[in-house]
Amino acid sequence: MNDLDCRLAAWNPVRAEDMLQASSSADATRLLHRILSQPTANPPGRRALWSSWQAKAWVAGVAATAAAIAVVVATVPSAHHQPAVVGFQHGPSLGVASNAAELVDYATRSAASTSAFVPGPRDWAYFEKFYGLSSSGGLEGTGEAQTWQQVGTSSYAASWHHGQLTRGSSGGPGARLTGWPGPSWTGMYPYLASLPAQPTALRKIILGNNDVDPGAAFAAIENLFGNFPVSAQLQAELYAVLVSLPGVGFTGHAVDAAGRPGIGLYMVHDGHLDAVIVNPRTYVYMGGLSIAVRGHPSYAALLAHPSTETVLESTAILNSGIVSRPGQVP
Amino acid sequence: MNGTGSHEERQAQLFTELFAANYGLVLAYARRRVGADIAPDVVADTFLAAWRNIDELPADPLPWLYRTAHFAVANQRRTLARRGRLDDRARLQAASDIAIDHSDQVAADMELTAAFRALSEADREVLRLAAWEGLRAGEIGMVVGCSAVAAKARLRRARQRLSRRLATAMSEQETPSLVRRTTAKGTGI
Repeated sequence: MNDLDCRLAAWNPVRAEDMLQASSSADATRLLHRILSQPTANPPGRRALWSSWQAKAWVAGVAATAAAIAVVVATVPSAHHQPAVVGFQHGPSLGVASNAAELVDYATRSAASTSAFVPGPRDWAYFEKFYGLSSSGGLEGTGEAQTWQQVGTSSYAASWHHGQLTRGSSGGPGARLTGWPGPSWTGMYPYLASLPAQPTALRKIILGNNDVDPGAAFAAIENLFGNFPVSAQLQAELYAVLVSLPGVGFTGHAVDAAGRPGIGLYMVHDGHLDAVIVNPRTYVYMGGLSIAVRGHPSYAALLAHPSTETVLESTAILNSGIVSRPGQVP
Repeated sequence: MNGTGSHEERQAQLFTELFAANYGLVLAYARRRVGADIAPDVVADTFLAAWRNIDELPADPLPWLYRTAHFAVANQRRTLARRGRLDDRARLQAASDIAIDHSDQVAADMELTAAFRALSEADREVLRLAAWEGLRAGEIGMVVGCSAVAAKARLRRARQRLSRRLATAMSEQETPSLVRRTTAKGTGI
C-alpha cells in the first residue's frame, strides 16, 4: 500500500471494526427474519444457468434493480397502499402509523427499545442537516451544514459546505431557543432532564412557557427537535404533547428537504403550515417544513408535494447525536 | 416433500451464515457511500437479492454483495433525485458525505476531500474499493464489472489523477496570490 492508499484508508469514514457487532443488532435480526420469510427466486433443485461472473453480475443487477423498484413503488403513495416486499420505509415491525394516535403509540414503543442518553457537559451535540430557506416564499437558498455544539460550554464548531470546519466560542444554534426558558444552550439538557415524562404534565409546562398559545408551543417543540438531539423517549413524549394541541393534524405523506418521505404532524397558524416530519420506520424526527398557506388548499397535498414557490423553510436531519469531540460523527 | 424441506433449510442456513459474516461489511460499504440514514435500505436490497440468488452465489460472495450494493446505492441516489424538489446536486453531495468524520485531520482532509471530490465517480469508486474495502484488483473488477486487468489499469489511472490533483492543490497553496481580493472596506481577505 503506497502513501496515497494509506492516506485514503485513514480517511475512511466508517471503520470495519466498528461494524463487527452489527450482525447481532436488532436491526440485523429483524432484516434477516424478514428476508427469510420471502420466497427465493429459484425453485428447489434448479441448477445455476450462468457460469461467468459477468452473467451473475447481470442477474444481481436485475435483482437489485427489482428490489429497488419495489422500494420506490412502496414509498410512492399509491391508491392501493400495497406493502413493500422489503425496504425499511414501509417495513417496520410496528407498521407505519396511519393516524396521530398510532404515531405516538409506535414512537413510544420504538423508543422503549432504545437506550436513553444523558449528555455530559463535555459532550458535543451533532447535527448534519440539509436545508432550504426563504424569506417570503420561493426557496432562495439551499445548503448543507454540519454543526457541533459543546453541551456544557458555549464552544461551537461548524462545518459549512464541503468539510471546512470552523470553530468559535459564541453564536451557534440554540444559544437562545425560542419557546424554552433559560438564557443559554448550556442549561438546556439539564432543563430537559428535569421535565416530567407524563405528557399531560409536560403539555402544561410547555404551554405555560408559551403564553398558552398552541401555535407557539408547536413551534417551540419543532425548534427543540431542530436544534438539540434528544432521546427517542423524549421525542415520543413530545409527539404526545403535539397531538394533544388543538389544531394539530396528522398526515401520512410529508416530504423533507432531502426529498425523503415521512409522516407528520402539522398545524396552521399565522398563515403558515408548519410540520414536524417523522421517520415512519424509526419514528425519530427527520425534518421540518414550513409552507406559506394561500387560499384554501389541501394541507395534506401541500405537505406531500411541497412547492418551491411556497416553502418558507425546509429541513432534513441527515444525521444527529451526541459525540465526544468536534469533527466526530455518530 | 422432505427433500424440498431440507433444501429450503439448507438455503436458510447458508443464507444465515452469509448474512452473519457479511452484514457488517455491507453496512459499512453502504454507510461510506450514502450515510447512516439510507444505508439500511441499501443493505436490505442487497441481502434480499442475495437470498433470491442463493443457489447461484459464488464461493466468495463478498464482491458479489458489494456489486449488488453498488447497484442499490445508485438506485437510492436516483430515487432521491427523482423525488426531490430542491437542488439535486447539493442534496446528493450531502447524502454522500453524511458519515465523513473530519476528526483530528480536518485541515489535511480538506485537501484530500477537495481532490477526491474533483474525480469522476468511477475513479472515486475504485479508489474507495481499494482503500476502504481493501479489495484486490480482481475483486474490484468483479464489483465494477470489468476484468482484473482493466480494474488494475483503472485503479492506477485513478491514483494518478488523485495524485495530480493533490499536487496541484499543494502548489496553489504554496504560491501566494499576486492579486488579493478586497472587501467593500478595502480589507484584504
